[in-house]
Amino acid sequence: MFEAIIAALSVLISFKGILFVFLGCVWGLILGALPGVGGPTGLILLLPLTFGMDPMLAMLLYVGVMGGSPFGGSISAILLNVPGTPINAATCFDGYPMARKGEAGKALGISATASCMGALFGLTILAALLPVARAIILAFTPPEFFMIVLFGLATVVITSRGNMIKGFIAGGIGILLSFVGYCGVTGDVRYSLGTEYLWDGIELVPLFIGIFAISEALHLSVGKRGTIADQGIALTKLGGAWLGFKEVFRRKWCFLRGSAIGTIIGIIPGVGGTVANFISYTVTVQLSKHPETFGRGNPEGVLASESANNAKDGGALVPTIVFGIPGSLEMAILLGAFILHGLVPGPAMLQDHLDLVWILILGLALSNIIASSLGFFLIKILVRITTVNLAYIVPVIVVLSFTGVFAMRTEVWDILVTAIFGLVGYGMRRHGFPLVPLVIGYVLGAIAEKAFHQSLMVADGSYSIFVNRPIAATLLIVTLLSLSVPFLLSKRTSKGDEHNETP
Amino acid sequence: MKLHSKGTFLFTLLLLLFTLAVVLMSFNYGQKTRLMPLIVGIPTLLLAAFLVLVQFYPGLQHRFDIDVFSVGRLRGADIGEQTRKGSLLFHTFLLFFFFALVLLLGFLIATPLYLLTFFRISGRQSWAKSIIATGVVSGLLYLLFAVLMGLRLFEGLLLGGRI
Repeated sequence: MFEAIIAALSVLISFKGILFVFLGCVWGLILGALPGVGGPTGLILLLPLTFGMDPMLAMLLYVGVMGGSPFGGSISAILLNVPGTPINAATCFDGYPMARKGEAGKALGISATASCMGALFGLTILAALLPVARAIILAFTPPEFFMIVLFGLATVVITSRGNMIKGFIAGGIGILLSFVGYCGVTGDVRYSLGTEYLWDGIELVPLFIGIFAISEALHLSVGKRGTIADQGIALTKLGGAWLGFKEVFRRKWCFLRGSAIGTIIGIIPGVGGTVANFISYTVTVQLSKHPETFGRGNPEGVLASESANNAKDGGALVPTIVFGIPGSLEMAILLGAFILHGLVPGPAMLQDHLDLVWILILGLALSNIIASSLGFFLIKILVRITTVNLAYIVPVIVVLSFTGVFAMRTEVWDILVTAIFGLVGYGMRRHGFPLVPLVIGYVLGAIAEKAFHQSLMVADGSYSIFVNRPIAATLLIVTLLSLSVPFLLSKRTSKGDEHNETP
Repeated sequence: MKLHSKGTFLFTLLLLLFTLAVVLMSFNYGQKTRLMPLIVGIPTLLLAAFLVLVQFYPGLQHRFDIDVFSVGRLRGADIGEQTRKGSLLFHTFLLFFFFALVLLLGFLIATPLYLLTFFRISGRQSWAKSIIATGVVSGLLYLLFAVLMGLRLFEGLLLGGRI
């Protein structure tokens, strides 16, 4: 193993090695910040360029993009409420309110630090798990997976903040939207309204960009004029980034929890960073002593989301390398790149190309360090976006969102879907329906359905499979506990109120 | 019976109709295909119907809803208070106008037209500032998407573009 590490380091710590990681990282940062484009598109665009290149250097270019794009996505999420990539969607919830309070620099500092350290956490776990990865992956079968997703859905109760009925309706509609298109179990096409466009369902990116970016653009258009940071910005040295850096260490348990969740969910094949991002955010809200502060600029919201979405890369590399099963969309493209360069992922890779595995791990670590360092130095310039007149910001958000959505798969109707969901998102916000349950429901709904039916198939239709297996049963208990928390708290609050009212 | 809030009533009614349509359509599918949509759709439908009722009898909500962590008092009208009259309609129109322009004339013409309209009418900027900002933003977007990413921007149905 040490020989493989030294071989990987000799390639990485060379002029060419560092240059390729740096170039990939800058490319990832730019594309990550563009709504709808993100890391997968960045990787796809590189595929033809790397054909014929030394596989080691090509991999460094790929991991450069993978390291840079999540932080790039958080920049637009925090400054403009436009999630650059779906995995940054939960960053909007508290990052943008922080920017509105004039704390954009601090939020970006948290994002830069948490992204880098989260990735290093995930990669350390990956390195430690390589010898036992196979057993861990095999422990997670459909029932366990269904329970994880059910736990994520149960968080709707907490994220409803103040109006549970509206939260449940939003969550229910989010889940129903995820059922549009092919049924993952039977193959039937549902709710397509006779159009071919809906056969594949409602695309994630137009929905997210519509709900967050366009609804925000509408809100800014119809509201009072001014700037995003309506309370001015705190222009300190490094634009407040240092405060964000310190915040990560001050809230170390939140960081560790987010990173651990990101890594674990990353390991489960086919789930991806979006789910990791939301589950980390909602768990943090659930465990917080002040859940009412989330969605209003709580730094822990940014920390939980950003540490998870970068830590997931380390986890996602586990099934990609060990079984050749991609843990996320980016990993699927990376798998394609392996094949393009004549490499066969799976157990053979661990034996024959261990140096390449270490190139991926160390390259990804370096890429995250470069992305965050670049981010730190650019924060002072970036935060000034929040002080630009809204008359200039709003149309740029709209044009960038529409062009980015089109760039994703060159489908014109995606733009219409974005506009429609922008209007829906605005309506929901205007009439007090929380957006978070809708988005969580949409991300987890179809996944839950598939895992549910797969579990029943495995158990010949018996529901006992959800309680017979230790991991699934534990997760079920945790879900039931989290569902009962609001009811218990509500009772305690009303008892307290009665007590206070007694003369 | 007096409506608590006309806008919220209409929006909730819209959500109720959407959920009702999904539930009704679900009955056309096989047992496995419709199972989950019905498990989720029916409770959502009932809650939406309840919320429509609440608009007529606001007291009902306090009896049945749970204000988790008692944060309802913190919410207020999220964004409604700051809305300028007629502005929402105009900006919604502008949004779909931009989509129509892209569809018919393509990005290269639609983007500067939309930007100029927005800067000049909604942003109330001078002609000079609007034209300069339009040129800079359009140029940067073209550089990013068409030159750097090599994306072929949609040309518009009237100019030979195909869907």
